[in-house]
Amino acid sequence: MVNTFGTLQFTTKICIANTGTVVGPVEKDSTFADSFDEVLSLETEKDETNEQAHARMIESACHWAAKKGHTQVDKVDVLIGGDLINQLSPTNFAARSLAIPYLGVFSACASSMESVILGCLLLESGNARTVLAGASSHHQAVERQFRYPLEYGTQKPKTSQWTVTGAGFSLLEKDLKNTPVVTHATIGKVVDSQQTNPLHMGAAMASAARDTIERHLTNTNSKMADFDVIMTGDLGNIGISILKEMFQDENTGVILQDAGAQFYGNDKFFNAGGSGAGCSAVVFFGQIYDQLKKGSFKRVLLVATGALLSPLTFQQGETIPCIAHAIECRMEKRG
Amino acid sequence: MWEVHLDKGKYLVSNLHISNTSEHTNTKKGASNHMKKSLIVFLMVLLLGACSSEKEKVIFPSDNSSSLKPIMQKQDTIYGYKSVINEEDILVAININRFDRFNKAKIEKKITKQIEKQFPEKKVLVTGDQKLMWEVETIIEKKLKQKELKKSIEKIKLLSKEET
Amino acid sequence: MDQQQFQKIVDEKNPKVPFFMNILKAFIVGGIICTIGQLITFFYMRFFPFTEGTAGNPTVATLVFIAMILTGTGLYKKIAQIGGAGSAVPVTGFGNAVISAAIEHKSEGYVLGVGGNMFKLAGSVILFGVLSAFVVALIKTILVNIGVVSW
Repeated sequence: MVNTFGTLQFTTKICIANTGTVVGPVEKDSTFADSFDEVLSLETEKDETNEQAHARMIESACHWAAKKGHTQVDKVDVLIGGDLINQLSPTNFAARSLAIPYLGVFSACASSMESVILGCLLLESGNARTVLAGASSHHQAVERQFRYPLEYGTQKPKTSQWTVTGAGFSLLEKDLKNTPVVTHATIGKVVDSQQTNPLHMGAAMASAARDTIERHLTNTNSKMADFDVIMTGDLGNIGISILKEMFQDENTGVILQDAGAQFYGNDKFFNAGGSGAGCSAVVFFGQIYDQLKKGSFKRVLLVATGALLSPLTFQQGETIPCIAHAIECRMEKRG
Repeated sequence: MWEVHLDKGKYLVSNLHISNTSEHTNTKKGASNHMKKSLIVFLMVLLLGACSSEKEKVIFPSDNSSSLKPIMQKQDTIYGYKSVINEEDILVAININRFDRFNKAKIEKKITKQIEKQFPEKKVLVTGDQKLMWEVETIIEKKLKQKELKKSIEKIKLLSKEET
Repeated sequence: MDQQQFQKIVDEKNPKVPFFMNILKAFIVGGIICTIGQLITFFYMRFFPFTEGTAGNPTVATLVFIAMILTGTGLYKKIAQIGGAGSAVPVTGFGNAVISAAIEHKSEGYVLGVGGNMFKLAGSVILFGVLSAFVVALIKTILVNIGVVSW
């Protein structure tokens, strides 16, 4: 049943008016490259730190979303954003420049959908007219915080993933025509499947994705086949195959896909694929949003997956708990 | 509906299939290719490792007293030596066998003692150091005499005393 | 789905680690680095008044310098992806650990940033290296004093 056990149904018409996606130079050759609004030529300019570049990217994405949605950032009621860096510094500093009411959220790589869910709730309750919601990540900044110095020579295993440098933000507004509508959402539950390898997060996150997808389907009384695509954020090649295996009895076919696994195509350099809060954000608000708007997709479930570990918990021998937040988007018939 | 989906969304669909198949071929064919390559490299490494070279046994100037040679012949831990004899000094640079190099200091001391017993009036220096061997070879090649010989021997003795 | 079932799926889907190839690659890369080191040693012995015993110092310094260049230009991590332990174990690996940390933390200033974080990765190497040297020397001293081995 909707509005129970974390599955929300929105009774008002909450639309994604438009989106803004900004990515780094490495993402220029991505499978989804032509759906990004802006590709930066350098991940970090000469006189700035990685974190400053990260904040700049967030601002840029917000401006793109607002402009494409025929408004300006300073006219938006609330900004909701998240990233992976300690204390959400890049998003905080971007919010400082954007200077609108701001809520920072953290659920690791699931932050993009958490932001959108909160934005939808604000609009549903009539407490805001427009909301900018999204998330971002920056490769150098994340590597430095969670793993080793960038130039350090470690041998990355095939299960590791490459953090995407990208910021994706969506402009949410009510009662628009010919735009994708967020009809339902499912708030994730923290699921721990006893995985301990931080270089193999796909396996850790698969269980959380499964829980969210199952709960959503059960509570909305639907089956996988009712959707055009169910896309997870960053399970990676191996994670998505684990997830498909878990849904073995259902005919998942091409419905169940993963943004991270496809992000860099077949390039073995990126091992298991892309990851990061920005991965789900730029793909969902880029390619998927475009497909919805065109009408190629009519009903999608977007599941952003996040691993809730920190460098400290890993060193202390803890396992990796994960979470996955989901939104269901539908494109109404052309009217 | 599906055509449009496949067209723009072909990245989503076809990519999935490509990545699935390439994983399979990588593991099966790739494995046998890898095995062949690694075997060839391994054999090459073995072959090259078997190369060795000859070393001479020289005493300079010619061995007058002829009591140094038998001492050196007796040693089974070395495969070559070059020595320089002066009025006051005996300088022997030795080539120690590969595995005996762990006991380099002990071997040097042992040979020094043996030579000192035979030649109590001379100052003896036995060294296994490659650099000093080259220096001794230079002396022998250039056929240094008297003053230059003495200078070179002094230089070698200084070098051997150097610490890190 | 219970934990056991899930773990079985994970183990099934995990890519196999190519141990033999990894070991071979590490051997070759490590061997090449050490061969280059030996050539550098011969260079110093031939053209400078270093003996076999004292040529080790400039050799290590030169190798660390080379590691610095390779780390700064981003080449070392490419070698490391191929060689794994073969590039991490020689002194060049130690140099890479220190240098990469120093480069990374420049944005926090020289004293707290670079100075405070430079040995983040290499610190354990130094600590456990000194500790094991002490332990080995202690064991040898005891054995010599008992009379089992001699100096």
